[in-house]
Amino acid sequence: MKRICAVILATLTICTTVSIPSRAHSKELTILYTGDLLGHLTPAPG
Amino acid sequence: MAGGLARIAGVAQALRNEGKNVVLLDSGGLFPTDKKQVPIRLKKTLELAIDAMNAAQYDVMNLGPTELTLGSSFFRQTFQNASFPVVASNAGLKEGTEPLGKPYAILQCDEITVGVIGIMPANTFALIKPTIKVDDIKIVDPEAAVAQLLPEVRRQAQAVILLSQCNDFLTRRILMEAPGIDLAIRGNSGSRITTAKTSSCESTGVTVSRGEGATLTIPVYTASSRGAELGSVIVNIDDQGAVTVRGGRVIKIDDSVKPDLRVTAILGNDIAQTLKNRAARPRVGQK
Repeated sequence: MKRICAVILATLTICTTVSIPSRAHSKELTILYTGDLLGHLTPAPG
Repeated sequence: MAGGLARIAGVAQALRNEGKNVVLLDSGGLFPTDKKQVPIRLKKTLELAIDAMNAAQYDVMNLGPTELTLGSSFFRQTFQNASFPVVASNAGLKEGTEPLGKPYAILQCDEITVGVIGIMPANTFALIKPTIKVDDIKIVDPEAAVAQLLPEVRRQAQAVILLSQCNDFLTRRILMEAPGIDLAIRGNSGSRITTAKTSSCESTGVTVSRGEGATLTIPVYTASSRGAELGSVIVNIDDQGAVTVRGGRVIKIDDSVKPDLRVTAILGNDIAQTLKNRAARPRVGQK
């Protein structure tokens, strides 16, 4: 009985280990920034 | 041509359309330093700017020193229709009145929560020399204000941004002494007043100790003036909550940048004519 439990446990461990994705998940944010904004009302150069 | 703001909005919208999480910030200094402008005409121009900023979907603006030149009630009337918060972490009105701006802003951007703190110099009034009485406005030491607010902001946000109208030296000192800020963006209006210098979206870093020999470099960016450039930087947060700032770059705002048509529709092709047309009708959404 102990041996069967050990086999089941080992199988579950392997399956669990395999099912965990190894790729780290990161979140990304783009920060856009301005200043002295009234100048933006004047025509842009170029 | 509608000007830089429509094109800045165009860049932001193009990134949103690509599915990117975008935060659009302004470091302050919307009001001009020229004190010869007639307040009524200036108010109309600023209201137009704020309508355009609403359409551009600005997320937060920092209160700059020049915003206080014409006093608190002029500022409040001008900003009453702003759809974005104005942060004023170390400036407020004296007791018995409503706050001047928000002490800080918390932005929820998809899965990321960002805190924004905004400061101006303690000696703002000595710098701007207001034309009317401003004794109802209280400006406290920015270092003390940041130290007090930061733990509260940090608890709510995964990344914290400092918008600073203080000079480079003071901004860096705050970053060194107040652990928990991930990046700083300096405005130009403060430096223009003190050094008569304008700069582009340059980036430098402040290296701070994080104990046991570990160091961390916190980037400091300087916002460009006159609408010629837009600063861009990417913030990454990994699954452990570690924040990385990378990819700082300057986007030139010229004819090659496609404007946002919603902003163009507000500003028109001729600002003077747009202001004349607006004077002839009540402002949309005016309270």
